[in-house]
Amino acid sequence: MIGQSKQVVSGISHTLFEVTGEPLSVDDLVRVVLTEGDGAVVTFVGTVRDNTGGRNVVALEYEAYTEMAEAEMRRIGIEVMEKWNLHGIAMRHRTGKLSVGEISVVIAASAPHREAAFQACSEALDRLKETVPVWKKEYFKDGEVWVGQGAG
Amino acid sequence: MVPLPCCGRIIVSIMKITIKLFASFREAAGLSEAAVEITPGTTAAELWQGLVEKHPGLAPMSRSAGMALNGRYTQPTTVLAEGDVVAFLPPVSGG
Repeated sequence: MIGQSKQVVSGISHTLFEVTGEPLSVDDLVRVVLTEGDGAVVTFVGTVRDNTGGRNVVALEYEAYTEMAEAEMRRIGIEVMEKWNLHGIAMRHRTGKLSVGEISVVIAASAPHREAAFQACSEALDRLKETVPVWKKEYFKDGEVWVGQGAG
Repeated sequence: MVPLPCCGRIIVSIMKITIKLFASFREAAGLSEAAVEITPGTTAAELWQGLVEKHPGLAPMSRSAGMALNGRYTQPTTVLAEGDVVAFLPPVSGG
């Protein structure tokens, strides 16, 4: 079944940009972006790894400036959609404390052909990691640290 | 606050704004949101300086502080206005 976007932004259907505390589903985002004109949907699923630089990680905690993160994802998503002539794009980021193996972020991009969908999905993730205001804290057996925040 | 026109000049002595802090900044200052009063002409950078004076734990993080005005990235030199929401952002690490 072809899904309808749950959220129509600026008249652009098959898009969704959301921060949520609930577990993420890849299928949900595929349903949002998929249209009958698509030959490809590429998804990226970010998951919690059990180590960082060889050090054991037991959990990750994500914090977001929710309103801004959603607006920033929307800005990135719409730009990427136009650049690669996508039919749909969706980006959803999880917040809260996640265990190893849980999904932290999902991106889905739909297009008539696979190349555009692959490129768009990769580019959207790169840009999300650069500017979307979300922060990650790593929990180890013997401590915790905000990633990339030095004295923090 | 609505500026009061008086004697051909605009007189506004105090403006109310909201500060938001996240992640390591939030922990260092011990607050996530605060309503503060500033004088007209105050910039985002000056607001941060005032915050650091009140919460010295933020001092080592000054170099890495990003700033957002009403939900969009902004420059430290931005002059603030009544009702603004100013967020100070550590380097992002989502994904």
